[in-house]
Amino acid sequence: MSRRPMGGGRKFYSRRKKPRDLAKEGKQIDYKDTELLSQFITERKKILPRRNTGLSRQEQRKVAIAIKRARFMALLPYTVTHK
Amino acid sequence: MAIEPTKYETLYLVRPDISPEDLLTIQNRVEQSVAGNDGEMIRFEKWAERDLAYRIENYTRGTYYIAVYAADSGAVTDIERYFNLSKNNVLRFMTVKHIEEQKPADAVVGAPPQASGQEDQSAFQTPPLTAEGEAEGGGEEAPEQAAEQAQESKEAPEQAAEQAQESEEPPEQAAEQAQENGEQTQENEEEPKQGQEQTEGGGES
Repeated sequence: MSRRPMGGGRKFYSRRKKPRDLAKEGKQIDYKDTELLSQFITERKKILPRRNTGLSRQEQRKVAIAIKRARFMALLPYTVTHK
Repeated sequence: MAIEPTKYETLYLVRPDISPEDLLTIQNRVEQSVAGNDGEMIRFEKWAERDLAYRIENYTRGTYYIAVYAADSGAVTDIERYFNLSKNNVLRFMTVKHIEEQKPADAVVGAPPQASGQEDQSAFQTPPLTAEGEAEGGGEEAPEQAAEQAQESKEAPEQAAEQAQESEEPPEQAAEQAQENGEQTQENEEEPKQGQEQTEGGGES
């Protein structure tokens, strides 16, 4: 049971997606815009990490908050199991 | 002018089988709360009626209403207290700071965010509509005609190809036929173009 301090290199993540800038696309991040937000959730409705969305730190944060708001208002599901 | 009150946006979800009277009392109550806190209602509308992402109190469908208003924060607490009391009608509600919908052009102009108030909102709601209307009005006719033209002009070469295939005559004659057909297609192409010009003129006038 030796822990590998360097992480061992067993885990490796998929390649970073190419950067995406919503502001440049002229899109505003709004919790009511489910069409846009659903681009940033997985098939199982989890919020995608930044390494996969390719968003900037600020935009990723805004998107994550918007998704959580949309979930509360039942615009987006929390998970696929509770239907 | 005093400090401008913050703009809030309240989205609330009512159950689908709500009575019209209850719906109206909710709306009135929201408007009263806004008016009672030195506020002004900017927008109040039915946002959407849609299937819920998950079941709330066994409802799978609901109607969303959105109220955008500029008021003191007292209005928000007032409205939310009322929503909490009318839980059987209002399934969900949320108030956030309203962010103006900015179009890229407006952002470049760069008016200070506080100054871009109700006037701006009304300003950029109306002009794009007219602009789109004009663009659509002018653009609709032309592509259809172009498509028709394309179809017409396509027919002739196909016939030529069929003739060429069917006829087991010497290749020279087939080629001549194809040439003749080619001339016909050219003539066909010219005629609809004139027609298009005429209709375009009519559209402009």
